[in-house]
Parts: sequence; C-alpha cells; structure tokens
Amino acid sequence: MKTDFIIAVLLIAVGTYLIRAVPFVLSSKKETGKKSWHQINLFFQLMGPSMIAALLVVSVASPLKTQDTSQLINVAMGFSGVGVSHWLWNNSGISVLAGVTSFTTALLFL
Amino acid sequence: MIRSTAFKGGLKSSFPIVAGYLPVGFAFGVAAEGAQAGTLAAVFTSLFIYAGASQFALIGLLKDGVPILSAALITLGLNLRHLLYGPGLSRDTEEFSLRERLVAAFGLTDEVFAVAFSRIGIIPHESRFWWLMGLEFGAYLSWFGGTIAGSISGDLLLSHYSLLRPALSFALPALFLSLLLSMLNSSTRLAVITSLILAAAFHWSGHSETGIIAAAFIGPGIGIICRKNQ
Repeated sequence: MKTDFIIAVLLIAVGTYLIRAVPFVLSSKKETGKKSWHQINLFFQLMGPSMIAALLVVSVASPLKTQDTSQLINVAMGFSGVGVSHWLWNNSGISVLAGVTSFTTALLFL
Repeated sequence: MIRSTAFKGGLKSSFPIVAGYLPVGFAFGVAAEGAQAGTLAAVFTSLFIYAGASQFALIGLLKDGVPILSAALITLGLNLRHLLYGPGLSRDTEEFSLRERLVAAFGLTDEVFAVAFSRIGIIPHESRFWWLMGLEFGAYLSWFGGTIAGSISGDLLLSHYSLLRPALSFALPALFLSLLLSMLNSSTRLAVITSLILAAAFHWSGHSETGIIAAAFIGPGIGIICRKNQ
C-alpha cells in the first residue's frame, strides 16, 4: 500500500468518525425539534442520492468514452441485471453481483 | 436485562443488516481487487472508514486518477448525511454517558441508524447501550468479513481468469446504481435527475470532480426549492 493511500484512508476515517460523533455528543432533544434542523435534515437526505447519482455518471462514463457500441450494450445489460435484481430482492449486494454477472455474460457472448 | 442479554439482543437485531452487508462487503472486496487496489488496501479501508458507498467512491475515484486529496474530500462529502444520525437517536439515548456516545458513534452507518431508530425505543433504558453495541458489532463484523471474503475471492479469480478484470470493473457502477435505486422515491427524484444532468455535463467538459461537488449542493437545493413551491 502506498503511503498516500494510507494517509487518505486515515483522514477519511477520522473525518467520518467526527461527522458521526460530534453531533451525537452535542445533540439534545430540544435541538432536533427546530424547524431549521428539519431543513438541514432534508438537505442532507437529498445530498446522499445526489452525490451517488454523480458518482454513477463518472464511474460509467469513462468506459463509454471509447464510443464502442458493444461496450454500450455491455453496460446496458449490466444495468438491466442490477435493475431486475433490485426489483426482485431489493438487496444491494445481490444487485451488484447480478449486474456484474449480466455485464460479464454480455462481454463474453455479445 | 443484563449486559450480555442486551448485547445478544442487539446482535440478533443485526441479522437483517448482516444479510445486506455480507454481499455488499463481498462486492467491495471484489471491486477493490478489480481496481487493482489489493487485498490489504480493501481490508484496511473497511476496517477504518466503515462507510459503504464512500469506500466504493474512494476506490473508483483513485482508479480514475483523481488526486488523493480531492478523492478524500469527495468521500467525506458523501458521508455528511451521517451528521444527522446522532441527533436522530438522541431522544432515545439521553441516558448515554459521553464515553458511551463516543464509542457508539463509530458504528452509526445508514443501516444501523435505520434499525436503531425504529427499535431502540422498545429496549429498556438501562440496556440500550449494550443492545446498540450488539447491533453495531454484528453489522461491523459482517462488513469486515464480507470484504475479506470478496477480496480474497476476487484475487483468486483474477489470478486464474484475467479476462474477468474488465467484468469486475463494472462492480462500481453496479453498486452506485443499486444504491441509487434504493434511495429513489418521489422526494428524491428531482434532486437525482438534476445531479445526473449536472454530473454528465461537467464530466464531458473534463471537470468530473467539480461536477460531483456541484451535484452535491445544486441537486438538493433544487429539490428543496421545488418541494417548497408545491
């Protein structure tokens, strides 16, 4: 492992812990009832899906930059596998494995 | 309820989380191998960061050549929603000491919060801390175990079938899509669509990192404004 990677992981680990711990230590029953707290709550609720949507675009856009039609079909097959699996079982882990399996099948046979 | 009984009760309550974490942790291990991060890096990440989506994001961003500091900041941004979990539980954990809060905070992931928030109210006050410890321990162990299993399996698979490398590289987009589908509802739809468009526009103009940060703020902003106008 590179030193840069270890430092980054430790920084993220400390940051993530502080994000979880500081509000837990400081919070009280009164604060959670404020109207402004609900607005912040809503903002952060929407922030997670928004960032994941952006990460999805970035993660899938790099392979598609090749403008290879077969790669587009492979990705579409993979996403179909994720979509069907999510609809059937609603379990992220199984959906990932189903998506990778569909993508691999398309990669090998199409 | 004595401590061990409370802990076992929490452990039992963690079973639905374990069922979800084992395959996702496994997928993370496989994805880390696919991104050539290595078994040790995958395990190290799961052991210390312990935040599913952001771990996938970190591996994906580094694989795409994003500078390490930017990748760390984006990853932390993804975890900002965890700011709300402590305050969300505070009503039912008023009797927790400072030390107990500091210990319990480490394991407050999305799924642990969801189960704790829905069930801690029916646990006797004096047993809540140990019940939460059991819940968090079960979840953490399954995430860590899943990562090790996935990483070792991924490594073995890749050493025997090198053709699988491009296939495993699809684990990251698959994970992001599955997470997104599980979060998609009428209240998040507009923010998600806005973020998809913004991220695509920034990405194709060569500014992927800026696109992620813009999506993180503009997407929710538009979502809130439109909800107010409804």
